[in-house]
Amino acid sequence: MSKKLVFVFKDVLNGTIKAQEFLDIVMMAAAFDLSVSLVFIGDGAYALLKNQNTEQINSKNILPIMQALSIYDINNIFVDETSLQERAILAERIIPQVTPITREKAQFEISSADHVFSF
Amino acid sequence: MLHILNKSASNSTALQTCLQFVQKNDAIILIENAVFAAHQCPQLTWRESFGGEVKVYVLQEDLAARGLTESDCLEFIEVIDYQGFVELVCQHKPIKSWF
Repeated sequence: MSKKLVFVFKDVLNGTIKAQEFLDIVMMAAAFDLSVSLVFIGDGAYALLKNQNTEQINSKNILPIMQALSIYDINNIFVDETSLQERAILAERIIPQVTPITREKAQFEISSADHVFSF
Repeated sequence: MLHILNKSASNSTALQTCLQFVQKNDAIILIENAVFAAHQCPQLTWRESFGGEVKVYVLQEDLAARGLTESDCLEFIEVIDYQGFVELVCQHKPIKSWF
């Protein structure tokens, strides 16, 4: 049985190299047929907001890659709905590829992993 | 005095420390990941810490890059663009960056 890798994002990633780094690892893991889940918690939830216009600040936008992860068979993208509520982010404001889950489910998703990567 | 903040509250204690040192008639501008502090987030009630006598601005271009709009911002925060940022810099002396 393939190993389960869970990637946890708890911080704001904008403007750092972390976003690109995690996508590289995520796609590499998926290429090796490993089971991959992404879990966004805390301020990490902000990374999922739609309509990120980075042209004015000449910065790379990772949202299109996030939305294309299903091509790599990465469909388990979760966000902790309590973290969304704490930040007053409505579910309709985030990209549709993401499934909001309860904190208990998020805890289970993370604890059921063979390996956890934290960003 | 103008205080420039560029780190989100989750990545840095800069905002907290800045608020402890900010004085009446100062201005604060939130740029880069600090713009998340302008978001209407029920958890964060930082206005009380300076009694509303400090002007707080947020940079529109950095909001847009993160999928946020003016309507997402706390009502006491004013949205400005790069030109407004330059004007603030010209109007204030000295300028302190917090990161």
